[in-house]
Amino acid sequence: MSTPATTDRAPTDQPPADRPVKPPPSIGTVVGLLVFAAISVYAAIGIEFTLRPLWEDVNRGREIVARYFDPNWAILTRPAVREGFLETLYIAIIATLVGCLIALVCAMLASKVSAPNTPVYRITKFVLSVLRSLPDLAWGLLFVAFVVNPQLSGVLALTMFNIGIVAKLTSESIDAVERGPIEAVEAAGGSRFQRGRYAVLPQVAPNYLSYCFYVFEINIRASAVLGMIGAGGIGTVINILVSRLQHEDLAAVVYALVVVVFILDQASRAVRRRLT
Amino acid sequence: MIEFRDVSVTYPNGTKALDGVDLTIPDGQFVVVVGLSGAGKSTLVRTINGIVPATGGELLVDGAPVAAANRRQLRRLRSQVGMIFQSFNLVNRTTVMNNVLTGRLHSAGFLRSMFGWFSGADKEVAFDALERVGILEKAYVRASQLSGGQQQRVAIARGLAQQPRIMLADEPVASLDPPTADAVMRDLQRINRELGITTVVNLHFLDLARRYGDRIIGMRAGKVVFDGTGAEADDAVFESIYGRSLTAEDVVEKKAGPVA
Ligand SMILES: Nc1ncnc2c1ncn2[C@@H]1O[C@H](COP(=O)(O)OP(=O)(O)O)[C@@H](O)[C@H]1O
Ligand SMILES: [Mg+2]
Repeated sequence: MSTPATTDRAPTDQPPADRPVKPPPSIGTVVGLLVFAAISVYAAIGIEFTLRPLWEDVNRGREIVARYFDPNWAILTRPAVREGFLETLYIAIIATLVGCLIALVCAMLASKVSAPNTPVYRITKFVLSVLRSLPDLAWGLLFVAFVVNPQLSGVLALTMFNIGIVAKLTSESIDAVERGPIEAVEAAGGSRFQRGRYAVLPQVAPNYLSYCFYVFEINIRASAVLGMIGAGGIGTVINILVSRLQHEDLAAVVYALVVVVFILDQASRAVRRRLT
Repeated sequence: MIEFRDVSVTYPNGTKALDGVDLTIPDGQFVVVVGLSGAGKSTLVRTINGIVPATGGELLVDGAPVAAANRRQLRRLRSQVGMIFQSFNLVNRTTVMNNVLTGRLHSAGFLRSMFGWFSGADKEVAFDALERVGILEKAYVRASQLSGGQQQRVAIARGLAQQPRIMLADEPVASLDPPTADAVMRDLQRINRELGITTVVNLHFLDLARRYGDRIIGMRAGKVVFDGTGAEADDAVFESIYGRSLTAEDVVEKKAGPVA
């Protein structure tokens, strides 16, 4: 490191007395931290949280853990497993496509800039917040119960989930577009729809596409999980392997899933970086 | 023909922007509207295409009352009135051609406009408009890559692509440097002469107003306080319109010398 400019000052020198003193942390921060700690302790007692099983059961678990280090790669060549992976991918792709298309329309209705009138704007905002209040698993349970075809229930669950996210993010991008081009299309005799299509959409397209790729990444993971509650895809295979205690097979499938998700994530992220 | 009969505009917040305006603009005229900022120039041109509704009096465009138009009739009226803005109002992320084709939207149906399938005839109208303002070769360049003067020419081409009978321009050269401002005004004048499009231009530079206006309309506090030819609009007239003595800010060419 470089030496300080004032080398004539001995290192033991006190700093000049006029330096400002760091103010004490605000009361709000202290109170907030105390409350947070109190809630954590209370919650831990409430669920009887303890780390004891981690070391008490370590010997019991050791044998199973060892089997995870010896994955049975051969299972990946089985048609059922390969189809499971493909199904997860298809479910994610279809849900992304359908969800994002519907989300675009919802986003246009959910921004004051592009909504035809205030009631439509209010209603759309409300419906979207209801959609978002259910997590993907809840949508999954709902559609698995009502739809016979497991793959379709997966697609529907993720579609609903995607609409909520993408419509919200996109409508916020629409709020921030330049108004000039909208006035220009209006002055040229354009309809409300044409204003959205030719003045708003080109301005938000990069953001919107980036959100679509973002939910695609979420969908791959979520689709694998949804399979475990019966919504098709690789999750179904994982479920069966868990119940049969086939740990070596399960390990291979899980490792493969991690790799697939990682690769698709990176690819999708690379696309998103180029968009914005 | 544009006829203002005692037209007033009061904005929802109570600001009276136009106050009893009486004006008749015959077909093919090149009218320059001058006045200080806040005088009501922007409001005046925006009432012509109904973007700002007149709250009093009657405004007729080609004999049809603007206030009585329903949404479809208003769109048809607007399709016959091109508009140019100070800040160009282009979609920067897309191509020049797509911006110009915006001028053809009024004749495109729902499906065509949804997928952007413009007919060959529409594209030809757009190319022709670009050719008239001399930037045909920029058709497939992104709008954001053009200079200010070129962007304003794209905006003019967008207006021309509507094949309008009237062209409105709200301070079209206020964001441009003096030589470019003059060139853009020349384009507007040439289009007015060649195609006979009635043109109403808001300006606040008095030298440009005199040079290009067949007719100059002076506005102050929402009222028309002068209506005459460029020759009649001497410095005294401008001082009365502005309500103050003239300054170097009032001309586009800051240097002394003969005005071309
Ligand atoms: N949308 C609006 N809402 C309320 N007042 C407005 C609005 N637009 C303009 N005004 C007011 O109307 C008056 C005339 O404005 P404007 O027509 O823009 O004048 P100019 O173009 O000559 O500067 C000003 O006092 C301005 O503040
Ligand atoms: Mg103005």
